Amino acid sequence: MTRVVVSGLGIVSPVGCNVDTFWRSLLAGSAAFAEASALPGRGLCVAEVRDSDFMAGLTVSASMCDRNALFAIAAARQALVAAGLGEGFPRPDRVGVILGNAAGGQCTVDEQYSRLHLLKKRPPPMTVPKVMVSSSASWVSMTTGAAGPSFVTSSACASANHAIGVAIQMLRAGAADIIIAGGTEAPLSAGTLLAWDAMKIMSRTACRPFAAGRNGLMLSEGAGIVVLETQEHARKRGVHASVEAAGFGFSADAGDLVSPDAGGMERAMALCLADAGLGPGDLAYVNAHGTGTRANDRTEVLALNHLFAGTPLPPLSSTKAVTGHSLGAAGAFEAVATVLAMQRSMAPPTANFDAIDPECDIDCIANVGRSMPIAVAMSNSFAFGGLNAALIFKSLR
Amino acid sequence: MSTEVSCITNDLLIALLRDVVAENRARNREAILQDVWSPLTTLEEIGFDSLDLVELVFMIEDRFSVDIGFNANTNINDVKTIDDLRRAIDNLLADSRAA
Repeated sequence: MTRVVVSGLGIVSPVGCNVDTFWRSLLAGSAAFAEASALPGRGLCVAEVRDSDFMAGLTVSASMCDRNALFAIAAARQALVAAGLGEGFPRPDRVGVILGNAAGGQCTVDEQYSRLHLLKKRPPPMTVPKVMVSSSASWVSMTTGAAGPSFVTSSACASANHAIGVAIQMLRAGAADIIIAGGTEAPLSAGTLLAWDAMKIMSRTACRPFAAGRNGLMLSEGAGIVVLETQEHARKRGVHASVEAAGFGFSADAGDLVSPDAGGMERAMALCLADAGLGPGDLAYVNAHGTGTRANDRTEVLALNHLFAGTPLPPLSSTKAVTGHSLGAAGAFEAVATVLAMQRSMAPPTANFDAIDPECDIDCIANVGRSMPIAVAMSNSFAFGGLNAALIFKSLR
Repeated sequence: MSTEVSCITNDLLIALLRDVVAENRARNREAILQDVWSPLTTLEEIGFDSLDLVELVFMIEDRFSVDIGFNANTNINDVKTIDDLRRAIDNLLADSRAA
């Protein structure tokens, strides 16, 4: 079977707009939560990306594309430079772009609805191309020259994992040699934040996945990119990647729109292991979905315990305590974190951890990263609507 | 028009719960509405889940112009009966008034 490798990483996040800063923040537990700039005075805390951290050098302006597409363009450029593809592609038609995005141009929607209803001004002509959910893939394609199979997957909080999983499958099937995969999201508009607040699951203090003191999730924004490539193509370019994108598993709960289901989660993880030709005992580390909500954390632990059927779980952490939950970009943030963990032999911690939730019987890496070799790691994303996607990465060292 | 609410009675809560369930008839819950509900009826018996609870809190906040300091990540989802839920919401209302 064709092997797929990770040949470059890119990140635009509230805690770093390059992989080294991002990694240092994960290890230090340095979150960047502050009151949402779109909703001053309401006590809603989110993690925002500073424009000055990622806009330098972009040739596209905010008048042309929504914030989520700007994030994707910047992260893709970083990842391609890291992959040795910053100068272009020998065969652009063999390079695809598959990105996850949950909500499309929410900042543009908010801005134009305000103009329409408050100022009675009609939306400008660029509104539709800015709002469309697929615009980030289009912009990455246009700015990099990638002319192969390109589209956006949308499955709420699992969007990026679905994008990366589909990319693995398409590379194995010979549909492309390289795919710029990942996810992007810019959901921190006033309307979107109030809609999330109405669900009463947002923390106003800190995100503490799997901890006794947890009280909800915190939203964020950004983009993560993994350049995926067939191992044969990478070798021909003289690139010897250290991590293989070795497996993906998808499932649907076919149950509830918001309540997670352990059975669906377990099936995605089991399918992912089977796809990689591995068993649960091979996993050295799990980057959990770990949103910091009671429903998600407990159900994910239940699913993992059932999958492992009485054998000890590997060490696990949720990096959302630092990055926040970036929805359609979350799986991409976590794929980048997981690949870095494998390359640097260090499992990042779950920050803000006070004490273990008694209902979560896990080896949670609390507050301090754990130095350890990581040969195989899994990264989970479980979305509202019961759409589940797990990824497995394998060290090639 | 909003109405002042200082505490939630079981009758009021049952009426509100019925409204929440009625608004979500698409979830095949017609039969539940035919039953008689009492303070000792369990939330499980009426198929009331965590999303319904959020809808209920939102409805109370809107109808009575109050802010209930409700967080779905607390153990409020563990309450068993309608009367348990009434007491939990009353406590949250009292906390909000004191804040």
